[in-house]
Amino acid sequence: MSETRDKILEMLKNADGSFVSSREICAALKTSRTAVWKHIHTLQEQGYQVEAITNKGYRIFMSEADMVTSHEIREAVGTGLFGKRVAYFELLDSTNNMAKKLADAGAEEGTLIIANEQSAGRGRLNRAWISPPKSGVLMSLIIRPPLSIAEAPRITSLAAVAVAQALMELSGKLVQIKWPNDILFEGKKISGILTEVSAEGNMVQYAIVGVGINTGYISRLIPESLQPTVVSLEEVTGKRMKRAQVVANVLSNMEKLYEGFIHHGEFAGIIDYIKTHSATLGRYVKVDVGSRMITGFAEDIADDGALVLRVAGDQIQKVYSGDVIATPMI
Amino acid sequence: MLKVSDIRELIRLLDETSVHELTIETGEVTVTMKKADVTGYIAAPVASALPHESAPAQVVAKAEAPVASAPIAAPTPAEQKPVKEETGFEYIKSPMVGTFYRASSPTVAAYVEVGSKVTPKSVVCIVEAMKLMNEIEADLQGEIVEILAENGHLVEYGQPLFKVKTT
Repeated sequence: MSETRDKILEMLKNADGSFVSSREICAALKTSRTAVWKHIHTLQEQGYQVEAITNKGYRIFMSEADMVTSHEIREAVGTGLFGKRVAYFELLDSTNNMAKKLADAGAEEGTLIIANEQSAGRGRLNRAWISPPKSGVLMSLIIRPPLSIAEAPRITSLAAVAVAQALMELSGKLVQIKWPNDILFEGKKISGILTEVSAEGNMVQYAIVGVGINTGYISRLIPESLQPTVVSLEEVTGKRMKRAQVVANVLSNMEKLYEGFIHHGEFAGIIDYIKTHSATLGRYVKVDVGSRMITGFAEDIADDGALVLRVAGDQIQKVYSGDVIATPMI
Repeated sequence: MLKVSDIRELIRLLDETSVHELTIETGEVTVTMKKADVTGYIAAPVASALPHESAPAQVVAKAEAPVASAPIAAPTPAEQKPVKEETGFEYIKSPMVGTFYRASSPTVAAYVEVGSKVTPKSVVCIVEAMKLMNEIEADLQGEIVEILAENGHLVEYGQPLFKVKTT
């Protein structure tokens, strides 16, 4: 977002619903009336409710607004490293794709890419993540952890815990982690995480943590077949939550965990959290590992985040990848 | 008294049969197991063993708790047979345990085929673990001579994925 537009937004917000004259804005920002008008127009396009009245000026209605522009995110995030830089887009194919482009171009750690709408949001194996406008948080965070590739999968565990903690803070309700990367409320998916890594030699060059969180009334907007499997923050709490606030809670939790892990090697707490909030442990599961199906009793989460299964013959098997399917029982 | 291992064995057996419901009584404990007739992911609570009223939640608690005292078994056998490395060729190896993918999605072309020329920066495949997609770069210059792992299969740490004639 342009700096001038940011400042205009600031002025309108500070006026708290009263009119700010065009002349005032021009004088404060040393710009022309036409430029101001164009910026106001862009703000309106982004979804800000700005009213323009001749001889009075402009005023903004903020109470209903649920914006995820750079301005709103930075205001909600505060002083942390994560989200200090925000790249906001009205529409992207996927925030992860854009994040990769920016990371390849040298974007620094903590840069957040966020979109109001995604045309091709995806999960693993390019499965679609349905993302209609304003129905959810669609964001990707660029990090540059000093980790080897073999250690990189821990980022998934860390991100899952950060999102789960944020959703519990926001909703006051219990959520669970379905190994390794989905967040469930009463068995329905409220959030998913897709991490992508680019390596240099044996080390991580950067990682993109992509997070999708359903915030609005999603059930009306998705195919009927998916409705029993999906839920949103608004449906869980009965309250409409500002997406910028959701982003801020996720980022602050993630930053805390990330700093603890990277600077102090703290990872055991993350694994403990996953164990105590697991939707997978204590079940008899099938894991589709692509080439075959592993069945077993989901017994534990290993220190590195792997799923520990007790399989036939009382053997222990660690699983690092695959889709977990809880077997139909009870 | 039923042991946790007995219950686990019963669950396993029940799952392999077409029996829908099973109740077992052993003196103080009654265990009922029922299969849901739904396929796919089920968001049902854990309790697969229901204690009789005279036996408080003991059985359930035990069944849910991780069994720490059980013996630790041998590591997972690799799916692929070990590849014999020939001299005169270089191998691109997997840096991690995970699932090997030759393309970024099932609908697009593979990153490389036999005969593809690669530079150190060329992405040759993805290895996925914990839903973390890891783009693997060739890290060497040459031509792909053979693809040693199968798309969608598990690969081990250090397992050769591509045989490369370096240039």
